[in-house]
Amino acid sequence: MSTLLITTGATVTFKLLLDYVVTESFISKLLAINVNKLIVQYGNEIKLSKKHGSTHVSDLYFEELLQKSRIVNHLKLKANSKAVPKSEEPVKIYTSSESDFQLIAFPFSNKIDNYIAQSDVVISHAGTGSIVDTLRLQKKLIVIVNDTLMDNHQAEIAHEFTKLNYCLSYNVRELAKKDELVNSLRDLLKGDISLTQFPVNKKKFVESVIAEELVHTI
Amino acid sequence: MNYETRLCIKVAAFLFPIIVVALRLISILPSVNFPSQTKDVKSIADVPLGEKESNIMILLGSGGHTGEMMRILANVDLGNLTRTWVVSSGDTTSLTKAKDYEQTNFDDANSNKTEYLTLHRARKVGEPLLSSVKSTIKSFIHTLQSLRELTQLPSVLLLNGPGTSVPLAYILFGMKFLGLCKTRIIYIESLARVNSLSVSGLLLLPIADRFIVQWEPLFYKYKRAEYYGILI
Repeated sequence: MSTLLITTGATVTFKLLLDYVVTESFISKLLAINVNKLIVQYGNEIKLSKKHGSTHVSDLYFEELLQKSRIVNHLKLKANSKAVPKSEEPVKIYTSSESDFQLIAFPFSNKIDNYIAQSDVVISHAGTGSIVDTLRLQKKLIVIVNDTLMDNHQAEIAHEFTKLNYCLSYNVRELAKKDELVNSLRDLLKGDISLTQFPVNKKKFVESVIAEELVHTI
Repeated sequence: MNYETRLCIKVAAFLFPIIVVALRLISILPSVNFPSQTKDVKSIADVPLGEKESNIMILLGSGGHTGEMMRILANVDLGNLTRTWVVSSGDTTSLTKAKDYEQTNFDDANSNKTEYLTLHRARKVGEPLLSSVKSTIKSFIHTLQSLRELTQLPSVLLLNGPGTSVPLAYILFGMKFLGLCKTRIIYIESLARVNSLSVSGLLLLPIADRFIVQWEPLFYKYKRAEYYGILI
């Protein structure tokens, strides 16, 4: 039994990745490799307009995908709002009445570290923060690069980290074509693919730079 | 006075301000000065600030930039520096993160002196050239006005690459040129930049007192860059 976290970033809705993972076929593949808990952070993109006020783009998109994929019906998922702990952050929890499968979804969390900590594998967008958070917690990581973004420098770090064997990475547009993602997930979980441990850097370099510069202002 | 003398005075009067400006620039431009590192201070608490209050200004750009900055600050003890947080207008997420940081790291009495500065975005994505020039000028003027409202100008300006870094840093550099403040500029390039600097990084390279990169290729490429590994 294992837990998978998919984190897509807070600013822009990573539609292509969500399109791939919020589907019945992906989730049944997860069940086949014994992943029984799927946590999805789907984005916090909010559009402000004078006419309509604010629209939560990511929320609407995720709901639309849930409807379209019909996973709620097919997996006999039930939204159990009672299980939601008292917190300010909105979380949707769906539990299957047939199997022990659980889907947890939320737009964005300040406590993402807690979610990473309880996961066995993390699939992440190429954001520097998400990547480093996952690696610092010594979790297995697959990075999905979104090359449809305008400023795609985030992808550089994915390639660099993959070269160093800290993580695996895929281009989001290859996902549907090659279908290697679930195989890699399975191999990572079984330990057939081993990744290099990320060094933990806790020295206070920035603080000493600030201190040195402060001396010049006295 | 004959013609020649007048000419000499005119030339001198013309050259004098240029030379003064050039000398002043040379004296404050970090890129033409020898790096004067004081290696004996390792933490902010070690700095003999005395009775004087010193301020650090921290710019929170947006999404990823804010995320990196907060991760960098997780390893920094700001000691008794007062803080000025700078966010872009409408960026409530960054503002919340700054306030959370204040709450977890400082008590209320200490946080009373903390100031928050909201800047207009330099330009919106896809804006036509003319109106983007206009809004850039507007944002410069607005930044200047907001800086004047602060009780204290920063001793240290900490930046990590969003577009708003550039006007803010150049305005404070201009003020330093005029002797209005002594602000030291520390720039940390985003971890996402492996082989090339961002536009903000390139523009700030000449005026940043410390220029830190997080990847080795950049460290080898730029003489003034410092490298300590991944900092976030």
